[in-house]
Amino acid sequence: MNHAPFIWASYAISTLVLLWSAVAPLISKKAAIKNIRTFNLAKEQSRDADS
Amino acid sequence: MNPDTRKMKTDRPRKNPLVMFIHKLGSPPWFYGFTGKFVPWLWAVFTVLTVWGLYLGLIKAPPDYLQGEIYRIMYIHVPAAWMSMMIYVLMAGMGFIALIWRIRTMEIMAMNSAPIGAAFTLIALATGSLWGRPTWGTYWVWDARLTSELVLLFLYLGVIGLFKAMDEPRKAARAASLLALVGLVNLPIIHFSVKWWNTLHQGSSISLTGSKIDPSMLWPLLIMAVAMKFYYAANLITRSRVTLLQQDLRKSWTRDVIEDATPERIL
Repeated sequence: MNHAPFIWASYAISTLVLLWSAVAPLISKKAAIKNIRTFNLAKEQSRDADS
Repeated sequence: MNPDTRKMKTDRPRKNPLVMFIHKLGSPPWFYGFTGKFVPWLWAVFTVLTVWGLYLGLIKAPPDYLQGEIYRIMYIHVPAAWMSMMIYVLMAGMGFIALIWRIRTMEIMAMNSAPIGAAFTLIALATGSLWGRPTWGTYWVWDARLTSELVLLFLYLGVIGLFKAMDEPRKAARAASLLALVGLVNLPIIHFSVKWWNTLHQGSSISLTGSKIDPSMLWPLLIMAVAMKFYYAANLITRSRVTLLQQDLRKSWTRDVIEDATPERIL
């Protein structure tokens, strides 16, 4: 039996899973930073409107 | 200064540096700033060790006399299986600290350990299955080791699910930490399954007293095992920092971090 496909499939699956696990928080971080900026902008605008 | 006052000041017990450090870790802005310095280094060490380990394991190490080339799956399967159990112990430990001392950063780190642990468990199961087909003749058997590792994956998914099911993150983290602690009972079952039952999965080749593996094959395995620990540390810190930003959206420190920081400091 040719073992190469099993070995390559193992490393390919592992790379994909580890890569996704590493990249997912970076995507969430981008969204979190955007949310913080939006929140602060809204806060400043309401403060300006009050004054 | 009154001599009595001076005496009282010097007699005051000095706080243990470790206790002080744990107290500081409990402060989200301090945690965010302090841990951020390590993240790029942890990723760099992980990358270097992985490249080195894979070079030695996939290129330099000789084929196994019995299994031939297929044993090379070991360099990802074994470190992933070790990580799946180690992360669970750490998650439960951090959950325990969070339950007793109510340290929020510990809750966050415990909860962020779950998806990383689940990823490693999935890798261990998938690569084990791919290793099993040419050596055992099947992708899966309801063997004690395989089944208990599958239960570990379900435990991780349970912790993730329970944490996401509740609206209040602190309450959710405490409930999920409790589940993580209960699930600890599965770890000795995974470890000793190959001794307690007659399983298809082989017994341990490495123990505290020594190894049955030739050094030319053992070193790449150990390097990969260390590399995965750096991956966990880097990923855990990255995830925990993001969770802090998400949870403290309305707090002033997050605005300061975003506005004052250079792009690399934000990352």
